[in-house]
Amino acid sequence: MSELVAVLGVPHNPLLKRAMQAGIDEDLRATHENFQDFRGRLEDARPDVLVMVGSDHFRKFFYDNSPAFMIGKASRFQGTHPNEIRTFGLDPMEVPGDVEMATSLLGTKYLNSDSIDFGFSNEWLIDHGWTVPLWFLRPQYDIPIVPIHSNTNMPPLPGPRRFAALGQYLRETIVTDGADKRVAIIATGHLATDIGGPRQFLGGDSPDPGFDADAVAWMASGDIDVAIEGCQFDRLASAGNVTLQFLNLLVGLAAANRVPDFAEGTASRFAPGPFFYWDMKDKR
Amino acid sequence: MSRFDINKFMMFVDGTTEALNEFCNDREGFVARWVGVAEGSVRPLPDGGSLSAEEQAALVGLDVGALYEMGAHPYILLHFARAVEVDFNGIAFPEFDRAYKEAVTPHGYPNFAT
Repeated sequence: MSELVAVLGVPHNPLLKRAMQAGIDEDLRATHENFQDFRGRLEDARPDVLVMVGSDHFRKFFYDNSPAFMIGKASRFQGTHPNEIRTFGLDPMEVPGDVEMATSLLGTKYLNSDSIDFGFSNEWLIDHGWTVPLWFLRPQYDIPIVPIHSNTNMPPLPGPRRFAALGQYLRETIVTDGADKRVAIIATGHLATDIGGPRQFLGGDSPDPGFDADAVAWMASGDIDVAIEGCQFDRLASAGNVTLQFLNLLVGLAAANRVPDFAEGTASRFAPGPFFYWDMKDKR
Repeated sequence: MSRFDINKFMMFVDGTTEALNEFCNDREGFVARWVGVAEGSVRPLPDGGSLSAEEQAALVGLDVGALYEMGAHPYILLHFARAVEVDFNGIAFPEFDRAYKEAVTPHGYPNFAT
């Protein structure tokens, strides 16, 4: 039986890395401190595997081939794509993958009746949705990952109940598999964020502060039904055109299924970032 | 019009520095070759697609407002335009961002679903 030891919800803004590489300016200090804190908490949780739920940004999964939910089951993953290296200044990286855990989550039967109906990929160049959280949280890149992609970018999308079901499924499958591993789940998404729209890059202001306050409150309540009710498509879409990625954070809440130990929309040079942490040790 | 074909073109150009340089050095020629590959061919086409005259003109002219209004995905559009203007042409990001917002703001939030 494996153990779910921690659940994290974090941003993956690719511009953070270059902005923070040369030093930490005042408008990035809170983000830096949160990542430092989360990095320490994750280390203390001593996970053997990181199950990472995020959304590919059209690099691997495009309009010609777009799964709703997808598990990566390779033994190694490399990042990132040439345009992300060029535009964001990200570095190529490599991290081991946990094929055994990925296979367990995917479902080991030929016909799986009770899973999430994942797609799967044996060869996947991960993008900043995974490399940036890893760079902040585990820059040694030494803990095997299981990347899970969700389609939060190309509507129509799975609804919030499916993201909650994914979180619940991850928790139940992790704690009943026979691998005896310590597992952390890292979910990554946005609060209100506009990229490519009229409200992008507002110099640290949110495109929708009311959404941010509501969204953090949904998460802080620990009640997945409250969060599902809040995550209606029109509400998410009106808060900015990539705010739909907030849905990934529902996976974290549903997996933890309780009030987080830390919940904050953290102001920064960019749109406020989501930081949520659930310490799950001895909580199952 | 096809949002898919617009998005596909922009992702291809942004995808590699080689494609970005090729497009920026000869926008009309690049678009003509892209469309030519698709004529009489069966999909999938890794390096070609169908684009209307209006779409071709918007891509050649980097008409951000027109592409946005057509329903191009905002994330893809931003990074395509940024690649051309900032990465290739060397325009400072704040200046690019200001012009980009001016171009898209009159159009509000068009539907970009597939």
